[in-house]
Amino acid sequence: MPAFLPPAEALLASCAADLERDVLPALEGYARFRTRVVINVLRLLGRELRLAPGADAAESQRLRALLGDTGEGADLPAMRAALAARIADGGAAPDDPALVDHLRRSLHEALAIDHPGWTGPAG
Amino acid sequence: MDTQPTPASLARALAGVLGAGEVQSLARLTGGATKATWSFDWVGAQGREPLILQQTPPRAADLAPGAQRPPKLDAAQDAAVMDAARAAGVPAPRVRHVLAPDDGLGCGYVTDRVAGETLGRRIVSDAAFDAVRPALAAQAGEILAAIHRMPVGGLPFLQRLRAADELAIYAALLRGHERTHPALAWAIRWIGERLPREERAGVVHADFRTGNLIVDPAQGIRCVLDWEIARIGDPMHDLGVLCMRSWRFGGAGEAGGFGSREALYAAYERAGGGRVDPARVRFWEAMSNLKWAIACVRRGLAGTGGEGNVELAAIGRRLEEPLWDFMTLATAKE
Repeated sequence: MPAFLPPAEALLASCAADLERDVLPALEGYARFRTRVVINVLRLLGRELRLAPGADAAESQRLRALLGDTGEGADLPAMRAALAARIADGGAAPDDPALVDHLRRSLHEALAIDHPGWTGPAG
Repeated sequence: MDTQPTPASLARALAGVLGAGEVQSLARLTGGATKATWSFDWVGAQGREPLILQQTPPRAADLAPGAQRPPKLDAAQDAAVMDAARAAGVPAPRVRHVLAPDDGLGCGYVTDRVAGETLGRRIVSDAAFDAVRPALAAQAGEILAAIHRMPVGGLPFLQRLRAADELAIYAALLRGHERTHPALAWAIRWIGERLPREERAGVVHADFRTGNLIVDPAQGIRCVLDWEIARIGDPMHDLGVLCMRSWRFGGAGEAGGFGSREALYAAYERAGGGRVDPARVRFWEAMSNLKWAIACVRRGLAGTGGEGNVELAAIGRRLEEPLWDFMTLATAKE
């Protein structure tokens, strides 16, 4: 990525803060609701920029261990597809603790971006 | 949208059923990612009547030919189910008019507007509902028992869906996406290996949950909305949907965010709904999480194709919530 100033994460945070502070109070009804959704999406994208590289690395490492030779040289989407196919076709035992642990961790990493707090006790 | 209502177009559509009158205070309501809901007042000979216009989009032809589709009632069928529900003592909306092509407003219907709250967060946590909240689980159980006893003779269009049918229909909607998402593939396989053998059959609302209930701070549940995916199926399905964490809105009660499973089940049985099988309720709760996950995928795709719709697109990013809850249910110690 070029040496942008401000970086994308800061721009997104600024957009969200601006909409929330100055635009939202001027709106009501359906337009206000839609704008609230936009603000939430902007904040989600900020979390994605910050957290996705680490989540991808962790998921890739687990997938390589689960898939063995199948994962050799494959990128992340290909490894995900290979695992999903094994589950669907019966090649993977659904109650395998390593598989269940991987699926839960992957969902946990995704939720840290999409909906932080969902994995906590209160939801 | 050329079917967007104006006070004049709506008054024209209603003149045949309500007589001379005027539409006032027409406003689109918040929410409804797949349809448009409008609030308005009809001022006619009888005085002022609070009404709702519900517009439903025509179904997209997005499936392989011959595939069985998920139930989706058209406006006239939806109205017939709500009429039958009211006749059975269920608090459903009173239908005043089903839109006709000549009305120029698309598909949909006009109902009475029932005062009360639908926003889940307020119902489960606002102090205004503190007094009535402890009664809601029992009310929900009584209403569900009445729904499940509804005579189906006048509703021949309702599809009979067994759990296996549901799995086949909804998994087919993914059209290959389950093969790119391991947790989705895992959920589909888990359900497929646990389809219940015993199934009763009754009218199932299939979307009976906080958010689709109008709740009054004094009287509790006053109206059950959104009947368009009703079908004939296992009554335990409805109890499972109501207990999904996605519809608890942060509330502590496992039933709807407002009450306990025990209170819901006991009231359901007391009201003649039949014996509750908690394990089968859990199965349907898991199944309903899978179906909500599939719906998230589809809405996310719909919201990012074409012109773009942020409300739909954002729902796509809720996919992991029901999958997380699915795994919690599926791996819980019996």
